[in-house]
This record gives sequence, C-alpha cells and structure tokens, in this order.
Amino acid sequence: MIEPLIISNSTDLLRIMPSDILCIKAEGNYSVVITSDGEKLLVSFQLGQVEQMIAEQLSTEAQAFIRIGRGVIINRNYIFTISIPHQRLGMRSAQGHSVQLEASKESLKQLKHFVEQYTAERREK
Amino acid sequence: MKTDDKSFYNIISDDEIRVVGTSTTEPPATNQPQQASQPVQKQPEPKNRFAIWHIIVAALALAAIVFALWLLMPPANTAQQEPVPDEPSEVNVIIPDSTTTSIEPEYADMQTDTINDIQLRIFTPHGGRPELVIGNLQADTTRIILAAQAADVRGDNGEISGAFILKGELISKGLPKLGFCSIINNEITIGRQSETPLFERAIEENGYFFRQYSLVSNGEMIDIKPKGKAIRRALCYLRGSICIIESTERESYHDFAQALADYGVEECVSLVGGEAILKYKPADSPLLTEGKVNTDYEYVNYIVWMSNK
Repeated sequence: MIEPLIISNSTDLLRIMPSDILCIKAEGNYSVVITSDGEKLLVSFQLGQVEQMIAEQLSTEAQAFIRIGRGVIINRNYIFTISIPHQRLGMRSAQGHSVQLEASKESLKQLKHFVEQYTAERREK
Repeated sequence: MKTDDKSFYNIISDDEIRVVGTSTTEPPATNQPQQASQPVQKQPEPKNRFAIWHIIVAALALAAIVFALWLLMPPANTAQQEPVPDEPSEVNVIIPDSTTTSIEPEYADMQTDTINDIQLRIFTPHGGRPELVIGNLQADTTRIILAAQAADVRGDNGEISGAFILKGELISKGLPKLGFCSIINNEITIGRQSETPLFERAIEENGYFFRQYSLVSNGEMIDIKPKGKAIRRALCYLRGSICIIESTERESYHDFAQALADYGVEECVSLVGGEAILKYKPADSPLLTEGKVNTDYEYVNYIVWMSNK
C-alpha cells in the first residue's frame, strides 16, 4: 500500500499521495509543492527538509523522486521533455498540467541518461 | 536507503542529481549498474564530501574552541578572571612552616632592582599588622602601610577564586591554586600545598587565609599555565622577610617567576597584578596610591598592613 507523504509543522499539515506531486521547488526557506493538477502549496520547510521527509516516509516510493540541483525535486514519472541546450525540463501530469523548470546542463545530462537507462532496463524486464 | 545525516539533504550542487531515498547521487540499482551509474560517477562521492565537510566543521569548531580559550585566558592584569588551575606537583610541595616569619615594622619602603633584565620594585613593610580586607579599601586609608589586591575574583560569578577566610569566617571554598597565604596571630605564612593545617587554624583562631598561584616554591620557580603578559605582582618571602615584589613592565608569569627565583625569593604567591590598586606609605611621605580601585565586584579583596597606631 502506498503511503501518503505528510508534511507537517506545529500549525499546518499537508497530506498528499506521492503520485499527486508533480515537483517541489525551493522558495527561499520555504518550498512549493506543485501538484499534478497544477495547485501550488507553500510549505514552511526548506527543500532539503522536504527531501528528507520523502526519504524517511516513503521508503522505496521515495525513489520516484529525483533532486535536481539545489532548486527542485521532481517526480520522475512526470518527466516530459529534457532540453540540455535550452537547460529546460518539462514536467507534465496525467491531467495535462505542465511545468517548465530550469536546470543546469550537467544535471540535465545526468537526468537524461538516467531516464534512458531506467527505461531500457524496464523494457528488458 | 535512509540517512540520518540532516546535512546530507542540504549538500548538493546545481550540477548534480540525486534519487531521493538513496545516500548517493547514483540512480537506484539496475540490471546494468555500470551503465546506469555512469553519468553520476562524474560527481564526487557524497560520503567523501561529507567527510570533507565533517573535517571542515571539526576544524572550525576546534578553531572556535581555541579562540574561546584564548579569550578566556586570564589577561593577567585583571583579577576578574580565574586562571587555569595550577596542577600540584609533589616534588614542589613544601612545608609552609619553613617560610613563617613575623612582621613588626611600621612603614613601607620601596626599592628597585633588576634581574634577568626585568626591573622589579620591592615593597617591604616595616611595622603594622597584616590582615585581609574585603570591599572598600578607601575607608581607613590613614592606617594603611602597604596594601595590594590579594585573591582573584571570578568574572563569571563575582566570587573569590579558591579558599578565603576572613577573621575566621570561611568566605570561599575551593582549591584552584596551590599557593596560599595565611595570617594567624600576626604571623604570615606563604607556601605551596594542597592541604595545610593553617587553613583550619585560620578558622579556629580568627585568622586569614587565601589562595593564589605559587610562583616560587622552595627557591624554585613554578611554571604555571596562564600565558600573556602583564604587570606582575607577588607576595614573597625574601631573605627573611615578607615583601611585595612587582614588575615595572608587562611580563609573562614564566619570566616573572624565574626572575623572582633568581633574585633569591624562597617562597612566593602571586597577587592581582595589572592595573590593580597598590598602596604604600613611605617613611617620609603620605600614603601613595597606584592603580585603579576595582568596584565591579563585591568580593574584591586586599592584603593590608595596617598600622597599630
């Protein structure tokens, strides 16, 4: 059974299924969770703290998420386009909501390679 | 894979990616791990980076500690900071009775001398009765023959550092320093010993007792821990009499103690130096005052030779 991710502080709580997360962007000392339907939810945790919550709460499900540089965590299931020359990463959910993210060429190279490898392995299986 | 290292989640460059839930930047295990991990192998191993971070943090912490210790070191000239306790040495422990002498003169003379290129001022009381005083020294200046600040006062709580007995009353306990001075029935004794029966005698016979650094013991200098330079002052047993010896320039404890030993001092404990107040009455002039009165602490204390007249 897939468990929800709970991001909670002393006053607020966000309970969200991993599959509902498109990406999470750093916003200074806060983070913005962008859901698969395009909603943006501000949480009062730094991106590293959110990453830690994902890792600790979601177990193997956490590996659906990839931290890209200092600025964003993506749900790799929603990777749509990668453009290394333009340093662009397109995310799109099943509901059709899309987000364009910026990332370094080097990180996008690694991400592209990872996606290709991962997909190839799944096909072999 | 989990990691409890919170700093791990904050360490990533913009050129790296990391699969969440793994402790490295490598992608999750695949059937072709070599290929899958190729792109991220260009990045430094996070564990190595953690080690580097830990080393950096440890080095910074160590530097901070060293700096803090340096700041806390007794600068000497201020009596408000308790120096690092002097470690006893059995070789250097002496019998205090060997340095006992009686004081009877009536004024204080001051002489200068030089030893090891260190200029000294030697204040010798002639007459008067030695005692310890806590608080305002201004109250009875007409009777003072010689006075100097005695035991250190701790900067953190304003209390006297080490054991202190005032007219038989125990004001402070503790043994941060091995040197001591007792005044019992007009008999002044200085020495270096962790436990001395003179402590109990001072209580039983309404005497006085304080502790300070022992700088010279049995004619040998004691190299104590506190560093730094300041005007140094000490209560000394020199050629059969008790005197206060002061350096005219800022000196380290080491150099000052060595100079005292070379000068012939047989036993001596430090007094508060630096800008601490010193009063003495020459034979042919009124009471002279040098240094500053310390009114910051209630327990600022003095060794004073009071005239009986």
